[in-house]
Parts: sequence; structure tokens; C-alpha cells
Amino acid sequence: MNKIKTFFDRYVVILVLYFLLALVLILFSVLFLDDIKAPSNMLIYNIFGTLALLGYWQSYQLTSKKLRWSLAIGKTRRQIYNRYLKRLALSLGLSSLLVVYYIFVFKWYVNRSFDYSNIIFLPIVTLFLSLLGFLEGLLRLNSKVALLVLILLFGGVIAIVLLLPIPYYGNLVVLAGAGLLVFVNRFVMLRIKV
Amino acid sequence: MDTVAINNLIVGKSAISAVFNEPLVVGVYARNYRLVDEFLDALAGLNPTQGKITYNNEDVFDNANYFQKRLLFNFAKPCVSTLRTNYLKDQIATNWELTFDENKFKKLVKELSIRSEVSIDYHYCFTKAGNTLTNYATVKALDKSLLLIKNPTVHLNSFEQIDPVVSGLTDKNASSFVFLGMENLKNFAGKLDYVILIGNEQTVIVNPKLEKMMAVSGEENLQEVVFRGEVNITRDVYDKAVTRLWDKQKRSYQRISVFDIEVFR
Repeated sequence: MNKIKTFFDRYVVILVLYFLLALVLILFSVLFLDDIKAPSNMLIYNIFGTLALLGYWQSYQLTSKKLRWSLAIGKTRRQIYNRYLKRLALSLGLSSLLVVYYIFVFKWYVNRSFDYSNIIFLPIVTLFLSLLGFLEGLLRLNSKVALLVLILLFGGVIAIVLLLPIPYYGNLVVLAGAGLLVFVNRFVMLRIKV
Repeated sequence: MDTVAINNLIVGKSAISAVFNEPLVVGVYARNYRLVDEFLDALAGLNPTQGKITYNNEDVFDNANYFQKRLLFNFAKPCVSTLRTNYLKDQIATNWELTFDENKFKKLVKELSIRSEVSIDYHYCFTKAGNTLTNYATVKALDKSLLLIKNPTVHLNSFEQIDPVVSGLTDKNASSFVFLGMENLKNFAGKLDYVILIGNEQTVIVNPKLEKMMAVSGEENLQEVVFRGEVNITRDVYDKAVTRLWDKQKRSYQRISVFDIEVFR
């Protein structure tokens, strides 16, 4: 009994179980969304919208609140940043897998088309917002200001996704911004006083 | 033998240079605790500094080898909010990949009666003394060889609480280097190898077993002043001729232990 409990307490096992649960929920939501004739991208917006909000706020909290403690207990700045990037890539990778699965199930069951330029735009924006939150935390931006920035940016992204067609170079610009932030964050992280 | 070398580290108004060889217990004291904070943060390799600090000839700033061995803790701040050892062990292993000696932690919780140091308000939390004791038990359970502790006996009032914490932190068999950011020098009387005094005039390193300090009133003919105030604290570098002159001038002075300097302000 104890061995089973220890097995289910493991981080990887919990992650895999959550992932499987998400697959089942997506399957049911496809049936539901088809019944109400909802837009095909709706669930994808939800997945990346949630991830962008959480990614931004978690990244901000990591550098504004938890950084000093992590350094004090024995993690170096390089280790913290590399671990953060790995986790960010992992969460984006897993959410992209969920989206691919959703598109596959939706196409197979309903045979409806998707706007792929919008779908590519979302993980890139999520990446950009998370890295921006990380930088704002490093620069000790007031939490109310950080929240205001989030609301403005998130509102802007929703407006762009819903109202405007996103050109190919638009994705490239945001991706370049995210790439730049990776280097800026690293530069600031290794130099700033905590 | 492990060595910590400080070269021209600027804290406050003056620079500090010193070499420390293990095993060693060092107290750090300043009237303005911010300076102690700054010194211990620099020694922990937390921030880039103006001078250089090395551990076995390697710069300590963001050095993974050094970080693996050292632990920086402030006993005045809450760190652990539970005494559930399994939960603590899991959290520490998952988040920081550190080993946590749960048996040692349980033993200390029992010995220090930490369970009696909780207050039940609208939520359940440790008293200030309970927080200090929990932090101490956590530090001991993490078993690191180089400890940098801020406010080691803060909020502890009784001998039953202070003595085990002081003995545990100054035990050279448990840790090779201990640097203590002192909020109370008296509690550590006779237990420290060196005391670093970060003064408003200069920073000095005193061996309390061999050296005395001088508390003197007045401003004339003072040498090696560390703290200025109504009573000035200097190193005891005065010969008999000077003290005879002070006697004639009816100037008050007193040779004191470094652990008594808090009394004179």
C-alpha cells in the first residue's frame, strides 16, 4: 500500500496522470463544442490563454519573491535560469502536444478547418509573456504595475487574435522579441543585486 | 584544508581583507545590521561585489561548488511553516535537490520543545522564538559544511533555548566554517574564534581570546577607533603612559571584552 502511495506521489507520475486527464477532457469537449457549433479554435485559446497568464505570473513571482531564497539555499543564478527555461519549454511542449491532439480529434470527428497562423501565434505569445514576467520580477517592478502590464498586454493579444488576421511576419516579430528576452534575462540575471 | 579569503571587500565605509582556515566560528557585528546583511550576502556569493571573495581560490559569486557546500539563513524570517518531516523532506528534495535528515530534525524538535512554540490565532503559526528554533532545526537537518547565519539567537530569551542553539551552531565537528551575523554578542561569549566588527570608522577582526577592546569617553588621542558614540570603542592599543594621562585628565575608560561592546553606545 505504501509503495503504491509513494508511486502516485512522484512528480513525473502526477504529471503523466494530469496529461492523460487533459486528453480525456479534450475528447469530451470536442463532442460538446461540436454540439453547440462553437468556433474550432476555442479550446486552443483557452489552453494557451491560461498558460500565458500563469506563465507570466509564475515567472514574475519566481524572480521577485523566490529568487533570493533559492540562492540562499544553494542554487546558483545559472542553475535557476536554466531550470526555468527547461520548465518553460516543457510546459509549452506539453501544451502544444495537447493542441495537436485536439486538432487531430476535431478534424477526425468534425472535419472543420483551423486558422493555423493564429494557432502558431499563441505559444509564441505565451513564451514572450512568460519571459517578460521573469524580467519584470528581476527588475523588482511593483506587483500592481506588473498586473496592469499583464492586463494591457493580455487584452491586446485577445483583441489581435479575435479581430485581426495575424500575418506570417507578425509571428516572426514576436518570436524575435522572445529570443531577445532570453538573452536580456540572462544578462540581467547574472548581474543584478538581489 | 578549506580556505575562505576576503580581499578588499568594501562594506560600509571601509575595506575588509582576511584569510580564514577551517574549522572556524566567526561572529560578524555592526551597530547598523544592514552592514552585517551586506557582508554575509557578499560572503555567500549572492551578489557581485567590489572586492573579491574566494573559497579554495575560486571566486564565490555564483560558484556551483561553493553553493553546494554553503547555506545562508536568516533566523529572523519565517522559512518553514510546518513540522511535518515527510512533507519537508519531499519539498526540499523536489524544489532544491537537497538531502534533509528527518531524524535529526525530529530529535531537535523534541529537544527544543518547538511544538510548544506555536500560537493559535485565526491561523496556526510559530511564535517568534518558535520560528528561530525551527530555522535552527532546519539548518542542522540540512547538514551543510559552511553556514552563514543571520540573527542566530533572535527572539530567544531563556537559557534552555539559547544554549543548545549556540552550542549547535559553534560545533566545529558539524561544520567547517560558521559565520554568524550577530544580533546579540553576549550569547556567544567564549564561543567564537574571531569577531569581525564593522564599525563606522573602520572594520577590524578581533580574536576575543587574545585581544581586548577599550571603551573611552572623549575624542582626543584615540587610536584604532571602531565605533564612535558617546563612548568610543577602540582596539586596546594604548600603553601605560596613555592610560596614566587619562587618569590625570579624569577621563573615563574601561578595558572590555569584545562581547561587551553592545553595552557602550
